[in-house]
Amino acid sequence: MKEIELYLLSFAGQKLITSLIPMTSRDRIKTIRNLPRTMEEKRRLRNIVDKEKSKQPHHTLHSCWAHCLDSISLDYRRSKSSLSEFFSSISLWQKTLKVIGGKFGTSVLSYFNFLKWLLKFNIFSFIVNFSFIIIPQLTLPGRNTRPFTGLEILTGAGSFTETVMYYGFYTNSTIRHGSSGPSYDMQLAYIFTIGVSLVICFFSLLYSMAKYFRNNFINPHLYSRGIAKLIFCWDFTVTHEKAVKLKQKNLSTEIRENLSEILQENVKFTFRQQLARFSAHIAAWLVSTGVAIACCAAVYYLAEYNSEFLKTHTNPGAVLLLPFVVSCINLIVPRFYSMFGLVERYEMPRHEVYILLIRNVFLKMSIIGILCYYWLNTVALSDEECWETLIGQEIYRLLLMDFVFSLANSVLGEFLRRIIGMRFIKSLVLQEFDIARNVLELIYAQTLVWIGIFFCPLLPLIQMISLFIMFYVKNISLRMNFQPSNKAWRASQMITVFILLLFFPSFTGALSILAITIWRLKPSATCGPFRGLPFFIQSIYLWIDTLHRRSGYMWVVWIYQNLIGSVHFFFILTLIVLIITYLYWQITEGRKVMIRLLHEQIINEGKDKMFLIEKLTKLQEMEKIENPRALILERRQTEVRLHVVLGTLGTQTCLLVQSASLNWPVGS
Amino acid sequence: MGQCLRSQMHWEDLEEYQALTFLTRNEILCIHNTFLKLCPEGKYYKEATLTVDQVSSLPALRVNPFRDRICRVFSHDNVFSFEDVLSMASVFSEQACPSLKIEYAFRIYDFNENGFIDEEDLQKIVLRLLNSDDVSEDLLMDLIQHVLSESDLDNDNMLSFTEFEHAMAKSPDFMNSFRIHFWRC
Repeated sequence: MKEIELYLLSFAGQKLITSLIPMTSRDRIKTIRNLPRTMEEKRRLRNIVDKEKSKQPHHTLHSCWAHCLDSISLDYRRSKSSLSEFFSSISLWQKTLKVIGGKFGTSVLSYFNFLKWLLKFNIFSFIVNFSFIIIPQLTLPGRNTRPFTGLEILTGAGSFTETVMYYGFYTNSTIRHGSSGPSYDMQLAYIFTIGVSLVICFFSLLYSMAKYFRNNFINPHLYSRGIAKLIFCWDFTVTHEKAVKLKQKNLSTEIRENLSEILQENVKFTFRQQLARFSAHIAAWLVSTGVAIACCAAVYYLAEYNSEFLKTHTNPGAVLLLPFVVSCINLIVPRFYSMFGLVERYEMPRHEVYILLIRNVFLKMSIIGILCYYWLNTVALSDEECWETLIGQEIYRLLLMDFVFSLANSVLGEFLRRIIGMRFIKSLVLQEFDIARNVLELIYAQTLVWIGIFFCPLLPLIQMISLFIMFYVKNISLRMNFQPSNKAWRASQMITVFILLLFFPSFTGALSILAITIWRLKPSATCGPFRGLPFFIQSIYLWIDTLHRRSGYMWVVWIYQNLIGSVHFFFILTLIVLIITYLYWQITEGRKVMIRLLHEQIINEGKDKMFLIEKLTKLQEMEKIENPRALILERRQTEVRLHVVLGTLGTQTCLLVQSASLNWPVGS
Repeated sequence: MGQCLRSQMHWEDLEEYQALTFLTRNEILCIHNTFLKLCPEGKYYKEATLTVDQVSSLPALRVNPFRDRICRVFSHDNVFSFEDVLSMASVFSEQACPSLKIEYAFRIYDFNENGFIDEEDLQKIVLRLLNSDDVSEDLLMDLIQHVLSESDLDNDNMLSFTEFEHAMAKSPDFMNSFRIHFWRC
């Protein structure tokens, strides 16, 4: 108790109290909460500040207004906190995620968080699609002529063709119930629903990407090798004893690796060694690119051959050949790429992970690209009856086969490996969860969903179900078959890279495919909401034309013609964005220069400090031996100089920390 | 091990704890339940205390290499009151602000409590982290030199609080790692 009294009466305490009084109650609560003091002290502080505040004279009108605002903000805060508690209590899988984090650490947890985040996208897309296009279509009487056999679930064809699952089932008319009831234009609804859900996905991806980039940007600081980080950032969330022991072992390995890396950097390779390494890299890149191109060519020719093959053979299961081959390629080739690590030698293990990631992304995206090229160039332009439905079925089959292969990999591959390892080869037992490969599989599946959402509106539902099942399967497999590992994994940096990959080749690729479809291709004449139009986008042009004639909606037409349809607007917008980006970049560069100068100054002041301390101790020793009076003055002068230097040192270090945190803000 | 008087927390107390800490309502109630199970018989929860051993053997802290330091920083006179436990949970919660976490991390890592993290403290930290018997003297010295060369800005062979804050501000992993879930509900 006495300590608290002493503190509050001290100068620092009084300063704190006077700074708290003029704040609004919200800021005051925040500041008190952030204080590193015990709860008793915080409570006393709050009481004192409240008492001081009530003592102050205030005008009645102002106080009434302030009081109202205070109580409104208090109610708002209470409701916000209870709402957030409600959301976190119904938040999916919270307990399971905590257990995983406790046993395996934050790196494996990041995979499961990524999965949960993708699930949210799919739930949102599904709800939007369901409410705006599927339900109106279901209100119309439908007709399904084909019988249901079990094979449909795998092939997506057969009786599923004439359901709300595919584009072809949707009507192009305006749904009207009753002669004067509200009308619902299915064409516009279809294109706007899909457009709006993709636009919202785009903005939320952009927002997440910017948030992660800002917090986790790979810091170009000159003097940070990350050893201090290794020492001070022990993962306190791990609570299993075996996991802690393993983490300690891995930390020791990582520290030794880092230290030897630093030694290694001073080692210069001879010219022959450099040439050998360079040629190994070139050879590896050539082989990997060659394999990827070969796989793409194989897939393309198989797809072409497949269509002729299907015309002659009528076995409904034959359509599964192409997805099967694609999934096999996705299974085998990444493992082949991992074997390159035996031949190539990298300076840092981090580079190896990144290069492997780039190669795998290139493979998967080029396979999707070649398939899209085939669909949009051959299938769409052929005289098939309902080519959009055919593309939708192909995407459904690819997605499903990928899901089946992942399940088989988890259930059979990982379990079998553990059983074989326990009985025969001991070294196989230690499996580590390969985060990069698993996340890339998630990104691949999500790309397919985004491409296919136009042709098969129920695809988000299917992806939702598969993600749900995958979570449980991976969780069980993880707990039974895997060991925790923390091998040189910077979890936050990798998550930034994954979200960037999700945005850049994956989402933008899907958007461009859809843009090509909507602007360039001719819809089929007999099915779907856009039948009979020359282009998909024609529906919007026609709608703008009809709005022209109605007087109340001229502002929509104006926005369309002058903002969306005009080039000048986008040119000016781009110019403004570029100018703002350039200004921010210059500000950052200026701050970096200031940080460097401050750091040099701090080093110099530190040298001053050491010099003055040595001088002081020497004078003190001499004082004891010789005549004190002459030396006292000198000693006092040195002490004063030392105080000044310590003061400047403190301010400059604070300035340095402030500038650094402006440039690279501490994330939360 | 008996149980405290089974009393419900008053609504005003709950509000106050919510205002003074970063914990949510459910978390405070969970910690209250755990506290009631552990504290000695017959006492009101606000006056009861837990020993350092009892808190060290909580499942969240049992295998932490720094549990004795954590208990020492957050306890008063070697015992934990209910509010001490709440403060500790608040600092380690997900919602706590970075400056608070950095402040308490500094206190935890300062083994000799002289206000600086010097070479002696660093040595103890590294030995706790690696926990193996084959850490050679050379490796230890090498490591400590590298840590100091990275983070010590004024070259006095110790880390002051500002230097520690600067070093941690560069690593987003720190915020995510400096978390402990104390409640099991």
